[in-house]
Amino acid sequence: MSSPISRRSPLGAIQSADTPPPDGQLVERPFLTHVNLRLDPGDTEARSAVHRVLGVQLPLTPNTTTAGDDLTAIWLGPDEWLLLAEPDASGSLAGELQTALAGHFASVIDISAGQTVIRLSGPSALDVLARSCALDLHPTDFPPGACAQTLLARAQALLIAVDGTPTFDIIVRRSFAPYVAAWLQDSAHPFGLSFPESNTA
Amino acid sequence: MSQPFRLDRGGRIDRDTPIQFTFDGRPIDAYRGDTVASALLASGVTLVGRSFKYHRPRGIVSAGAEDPNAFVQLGHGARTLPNRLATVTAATPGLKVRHVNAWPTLEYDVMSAFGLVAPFIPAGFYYKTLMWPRRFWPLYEHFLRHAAGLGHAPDAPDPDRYDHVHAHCDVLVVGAGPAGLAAARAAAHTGARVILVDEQAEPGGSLLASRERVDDLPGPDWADAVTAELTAAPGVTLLPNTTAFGLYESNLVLLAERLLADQPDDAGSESGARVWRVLPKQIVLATGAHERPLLFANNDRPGVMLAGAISTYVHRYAVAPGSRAVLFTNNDAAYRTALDLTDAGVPVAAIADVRTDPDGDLPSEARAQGIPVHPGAVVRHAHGGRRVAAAELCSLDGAPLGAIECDLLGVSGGFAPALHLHAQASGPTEWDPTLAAFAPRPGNGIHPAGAVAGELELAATLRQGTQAGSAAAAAAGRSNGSEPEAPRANDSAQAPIQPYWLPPGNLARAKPQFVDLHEDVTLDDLRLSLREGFESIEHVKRYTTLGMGPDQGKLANPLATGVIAELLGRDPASVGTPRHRPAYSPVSLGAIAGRHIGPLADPVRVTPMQEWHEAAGARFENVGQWRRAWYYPQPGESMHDAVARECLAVRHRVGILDYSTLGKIEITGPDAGEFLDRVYTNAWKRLRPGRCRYGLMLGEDGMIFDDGVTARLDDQRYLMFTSTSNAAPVLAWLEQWLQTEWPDLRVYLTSVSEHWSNIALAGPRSREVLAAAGTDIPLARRAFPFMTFREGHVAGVLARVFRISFSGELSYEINVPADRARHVWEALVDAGRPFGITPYGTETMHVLRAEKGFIIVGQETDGSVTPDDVGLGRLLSRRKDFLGKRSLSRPDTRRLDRKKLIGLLSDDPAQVLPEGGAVVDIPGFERPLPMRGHVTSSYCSPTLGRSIALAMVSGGAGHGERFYVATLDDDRWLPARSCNPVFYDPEGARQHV
Amino acid sequence: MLLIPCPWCGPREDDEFTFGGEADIPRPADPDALTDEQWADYLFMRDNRRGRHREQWCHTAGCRRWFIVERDTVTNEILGAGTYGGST
Repeated sequence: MSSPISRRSPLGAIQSADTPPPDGQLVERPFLTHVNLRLDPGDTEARSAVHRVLGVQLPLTPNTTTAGDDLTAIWLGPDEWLLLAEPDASGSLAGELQTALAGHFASVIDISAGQTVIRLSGPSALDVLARSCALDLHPTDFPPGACAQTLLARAQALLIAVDGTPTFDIIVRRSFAPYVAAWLQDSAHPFGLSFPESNTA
Repeated sequence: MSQPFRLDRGGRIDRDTPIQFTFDGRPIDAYRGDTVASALLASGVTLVGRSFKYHRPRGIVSAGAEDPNAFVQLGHGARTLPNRLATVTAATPGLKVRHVNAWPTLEYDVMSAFGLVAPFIPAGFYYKTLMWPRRFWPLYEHFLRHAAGLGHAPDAPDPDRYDHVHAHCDVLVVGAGPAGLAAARAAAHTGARVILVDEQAEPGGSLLASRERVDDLPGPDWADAVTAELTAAPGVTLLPNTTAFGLYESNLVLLAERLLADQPDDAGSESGARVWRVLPKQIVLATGAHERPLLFANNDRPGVMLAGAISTYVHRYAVAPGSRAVLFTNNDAAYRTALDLTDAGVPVAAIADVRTDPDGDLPSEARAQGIPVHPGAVVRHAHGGRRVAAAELCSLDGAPLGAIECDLLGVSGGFAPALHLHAQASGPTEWDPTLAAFAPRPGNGIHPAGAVAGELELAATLRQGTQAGSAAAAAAGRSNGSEPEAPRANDSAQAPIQPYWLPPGNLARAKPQFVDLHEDVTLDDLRLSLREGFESIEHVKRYTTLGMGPDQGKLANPLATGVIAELLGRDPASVGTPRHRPAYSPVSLGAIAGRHIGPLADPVRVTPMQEWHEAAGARFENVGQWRRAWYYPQPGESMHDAVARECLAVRHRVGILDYSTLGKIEITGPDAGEFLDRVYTNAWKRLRPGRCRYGLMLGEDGMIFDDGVTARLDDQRYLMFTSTSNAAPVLAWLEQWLQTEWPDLRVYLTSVSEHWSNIALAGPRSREVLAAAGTDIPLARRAFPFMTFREGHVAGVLARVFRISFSGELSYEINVPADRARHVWEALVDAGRPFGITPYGTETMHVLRAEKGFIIVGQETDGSVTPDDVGLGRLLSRRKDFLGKRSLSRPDTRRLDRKKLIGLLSDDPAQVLPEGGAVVDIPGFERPLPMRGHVTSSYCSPTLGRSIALAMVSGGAGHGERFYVATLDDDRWLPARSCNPVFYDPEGARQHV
Repeated sequence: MLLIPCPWCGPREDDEFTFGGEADIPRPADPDALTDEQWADYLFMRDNRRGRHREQWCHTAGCRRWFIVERDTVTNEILGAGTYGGST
């Protein structure tokens, strides 16, 4: 057997800063657990089973999220959700859900390695996103807890309004992450915001 | 240099901040607050360009975006900008301004000889004369381009950054004149999110040149007060120096904001321009109106200006554009200019008024000031060369009234609403007879207010603006129940205009009378067009070039409508105007491109092994948005050498390929097998868990759409591989059938393409390498046979390993989570070193599969190829229906002469046949030559030591038939013979070992 | 730019969507029972209507749902949108 298993995030060269600076931050949140869940929302038993595992209800209102302590359930479609959880939940979360949903028409698929999260926060966050996002992200239209799947420039992305700072989590597919990060970096530059310097070679 | 035409007092210029720029190298003194045009006029520069066709001298006509003449080139080198209007360009220190359309110099222009032969180059001249003989056209074009000289492109890449911003608001107010300011204030009053844009450097519009008072303040002061109020209001964004240049479906509005205003043109500025993409809920259109020019001979002489523009230069810039003026009008507005000039100390020698009894407030006031007014009179001719020297007046019946000396001739033919944005989006317009112009009708979220709505009086404009702002906010769902009181103004009532299109009687024969100054279209040109039958306004435009060019006929088109109507004896409403199209004013290409350039032009997708490939010296090829390792040359190797080495390594030892880009779809649910049965041509329900099968997907037309291997993971789960380029289309296609046609099927589709990286290990030693890398999967041939899959650990990582092959060799495709893929890749490379493992790229992959006769969708197929055509008829199930099945029994898909896949071997084994080359039976050079087909894939096969090719040939071919393939570039015919398309290991023994 | 009302996500810009052609063309239950003409009619013939037109759209960059839009092909005005079978 060879060397210990190293994991690489798609933006591996852009790791999180230790403490977020007051004027905002632009960082990757690597290695979170991403689980795609499909089930019939009319199957209340299945939803209850999921609730027991997650501790939060699945959001049924389009483009909203429900957040627990260490897990967020994100609406993707009328029968589709993304569960975003802490890194170490991988495997176990999908496994627990699969067990809980045995016998139901449902699909639980771990896609953690296939996407990553970019966090953008601070007073200029809306201005930065306006450079690539056509949606109206003003808090009256897009309050904390809202989510939307849309395009950032030419890449698909899932946006989540995390809090009123404002803070956004931007979930992108792995191979599009460098492109989206480059757009955000270029857009954020005039506002004095950028990804932290690379701390991995 | 002095400013002889600068007034001693007044204006909104900052006299404490003198600045200097250059015009054709000559220093021009100005003040901050000047435009390039106002500074040129202050300095007495009247000649700013030469006309497009005849190179006649031309001067500044207007004070805004409608000017047909004031196009200049700004800056130099990489940052130069052509086609900028001096009238809306702020004068900045050090700015370099050049004329655009004269050669060699503005003063001595050899092309002006065209002016002498003008009668010989009427409209349509180019079409009729220069198209023959055809082969001379490039020569003509070269000469014409030089003669036309519409500015110069930059000579180096643009160093500026261009910004794009998406914006949303409740109410977008276009135009910050009196109507726009009142509307923005009323909308902001409700708490609405408001964006107010104006193309000028400061808000105010016509108020900045007004004599009237608003709410007991001088007009300009009121504009300043409201601007300050709006700047402080939350939710209001004020954008000066910004042109709304396009209005599209869904009321999307594009704005171009100029950011260079305060930058010397050659200092390193952050940005050149910003394009705003605004999606407002409602729009207040307060774009004002353009004053119409009037026809008379030599009406293009420098010094002939719009009357309203003269007032603007006097009030706003403290510039008198002349020293002795004559005015020519058909309405009251010019009288205000006469009073402005008189106040500024410029004598007004005469006012010629088409109307026989001008007796409104303004005419009376002008008479009271002693200005000579000539009722029922017109200007018939302007004297002078590079500047107007005198205006020759006559009565409407042609009786001479003498030539009156002047160096400034102000004209006012009434006002045409600036409805361009509205009309761009096909907004309804109607002929307003009191204006003698087209005006926009409200509706569809657009609220016209002020002059654009035909309202020329200030008090009414302010009322209308206030109402429009309140109504727009309410329609956007914002209302606080109260409308602010409209500002009050003390303007005087205006008497109606009297339309004046064609000069009466013989006056209309005088030459030249320009309808379109920018395009040099004369009254005679319009007559010629109509005489030749081009009567529709769109035909007139194309025949004469009326309204073309960077000014888009802002002044010409409203005039042309009336002139054409009169020439045809028709109602102007039925003549119409040419279609309005974006952009309203020229927008630089850099601004349109924004950030979409260089590395941000399109996503570049890479796999987790990208850095490894780079370190290994790989060359890359683009496959859609993916960047894939193409081949890995070692020092001194050509591409041919590298590919040959990689191919032989796979055939004789072992190779490793990054195939992570394949599409991967998990298909889950009790009906997953039934679903696959419907979308694939072969049968799936009985495939046992742990086994794989090759599938072919057809469109309903029976043509191959995609192919790939699908594995049954467990009872209710399948994993489908799609081709790299079809990953997204296949998922969309499957979802469409599932959601729209078969909602009863209990199946979920989830893309896992990005989660799983795919590493292909291929070659006779691959089993040993996989074992050496460490795996808990039993690898013995019987434990893990061909076309099965196993789950287990590889190099410590949980993996799905598929024994499938695209090379024809013993092969494992190892799927691991992408975040651990680099680890597994390196472990396999390390473990493979003793076996001579060789990384190989897409080129080798293509050669290996071609040696095996495996098709690539999109290379052998092109959307017109059935399974039978490529010899895959065995995959068509007879027992079930599937998408496209019925089409395979249509007469066309059963034709015997359909193109079929064959192998081709060139007679010369060293000759690689050209891909795309035509395949024929008998060579020849007579066109058209009967073509049998085309070469689809062609390579040098290192395994076979010779070239091989696949081709699609009508009717197919047996073994050894003679064909010829055309070279693509040098008209040669290459002899070749047909053969079995499986060139290597036709029994398929090697992949089963 | 067309704003398309996704029944789930609300109005979004058209570049988030894929067009799927005319709606209400069900796949024949038994294709083998059809004549070549009938099959060609299903496969190739479309009304290409001037005016009100029911058509399929997919919110590709959003919720990935296919739905039906009724659009005036002359004015491009969107007259309504609905889900397939009103499913939730």
